[in-house]
Amino acid sequence: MKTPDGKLEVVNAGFYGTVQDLGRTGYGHWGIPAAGAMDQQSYQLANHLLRNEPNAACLELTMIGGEFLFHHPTTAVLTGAPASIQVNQQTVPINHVIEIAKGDRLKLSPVKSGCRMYLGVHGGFQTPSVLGSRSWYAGITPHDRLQEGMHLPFSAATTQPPRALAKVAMDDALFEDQKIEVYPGPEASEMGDTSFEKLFSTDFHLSAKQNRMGIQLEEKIENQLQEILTSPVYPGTVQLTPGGKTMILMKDAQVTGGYPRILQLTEQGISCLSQKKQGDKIRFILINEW
Amino acid sequence: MSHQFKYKHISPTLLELYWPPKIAPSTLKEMTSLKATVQQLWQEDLLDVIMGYHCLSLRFKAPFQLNDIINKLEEIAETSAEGASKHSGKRWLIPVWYSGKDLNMVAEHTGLSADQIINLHKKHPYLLYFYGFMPGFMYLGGLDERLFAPRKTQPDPLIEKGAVAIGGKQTGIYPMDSPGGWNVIGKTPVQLFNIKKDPPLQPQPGDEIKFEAISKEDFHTISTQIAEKNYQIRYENT
Repeated sequence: MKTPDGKLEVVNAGFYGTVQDLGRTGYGHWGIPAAGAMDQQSYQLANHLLRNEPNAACLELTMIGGEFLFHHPTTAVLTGAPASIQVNQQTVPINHVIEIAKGDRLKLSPVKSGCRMYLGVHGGFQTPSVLGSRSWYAGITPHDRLQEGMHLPFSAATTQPPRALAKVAMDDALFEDQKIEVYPGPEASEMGDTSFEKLFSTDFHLSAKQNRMGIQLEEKIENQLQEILTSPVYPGTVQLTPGGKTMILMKDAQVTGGYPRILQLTEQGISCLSQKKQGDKIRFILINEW
Repeated sequence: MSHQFKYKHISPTLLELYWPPKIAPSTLKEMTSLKATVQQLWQEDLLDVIMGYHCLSLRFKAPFQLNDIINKLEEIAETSAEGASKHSGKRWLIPVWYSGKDLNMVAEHTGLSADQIINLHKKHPYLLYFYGFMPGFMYLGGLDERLFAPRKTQPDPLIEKGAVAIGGKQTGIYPMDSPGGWNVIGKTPVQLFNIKKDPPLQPQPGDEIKFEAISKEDFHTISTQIAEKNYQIRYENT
């Protein structure tokens, strides 16, 4: 039995934080977005290191992590974008399980590279589960972003902690790589060859228009495609707007759309893109077979 | 099923099935019927099944063998050719206080008076094709073409929950507060999407939505009944 009486107090909410898990699948037909951790790879690593269930909820922290006060002992881990982590002003490493005592203060510096960090605790955060997921989304869960003064419940069960200092090799490619793997999208075949090939020889840069719903790229692609009848879209769908801008839909994206769907990111591609920020350069790499 | 459907294998776990690219009640019937069948057949293997007007997408939990799936789908299509037509749905009656702030704008675009707009809007039932755009947002077919009114070039920062609006060739109800570019012509007190209820919404694709004009007083009476948990959305069987 989990006793959710541990509490994590948000002292400083940082830039933008949410609770996330694998996502809310199976409700797209009600118009409910999948949500879930943007960088599934780093999120899953956190639960792996803690020996949590794969769907245990973590905090997803964007760019500037903030400061947290633990009101109960636990074990915790930070994965994702590298940042300097301090527990009671002592520096601790990323991707390492940390022993937390009651009253410990965890402070994160802004990320050094990448974009998103994941803070996991033993057993996962126990914020309300709605339609099978604890992932925050406005109108679905009681909260939609981390705010100063919030108390997030976690399991205070005093089970054997996971192997202290469990460590795995960090996948730097996620933060350094500019290559984003994609499949051709449903409307790709209707694009002219020249425009389609241009997608793979262009250096794209992430614009300021980005959040958990989508990321717009700066560079334009010549577009002769008509709008389509409203059709399903997915996290990782690359839409081409009438003005020639490309918009990559991410985890909080709506479930249907009317712009042509020219590419579809691989799962790895979504994780990799989730670690990019405004101004970063990316290249699409076409995967034609699997 | 009256035609050979097209499909695209989009990723190792994603398959899209297509009907002819038009908005048609017959397509909706075939699609909802096939959707029910595949959900039953591959219940354990499917993560999500999403509909558009002419596209049904199947998201599997794990990579699938395309041939196996397509063969099975064609088998289903043959055997269910006759059964698909006997859809029995509901017609949901949605009370609307037609007092939207953009009624004048729609009147300007259409050349109709406010009364004419209201009468045309509530006259015929609309077919619910699917949900999308935001949780609980219904894509409704059947707007009288005399009511077509372009979306605003500058979207409103806030359209209130319950707003009934016209955007281009479509009409719909905002299930939650949202920015939006549609022309608001009225407001319903009914909560069409409530995450605290199980299920959070009642109308299903293939059902009909019919609007009924109510007064400001009725609006407040129904709002009170809803607050006191003393109101059920009314429906007729079709």
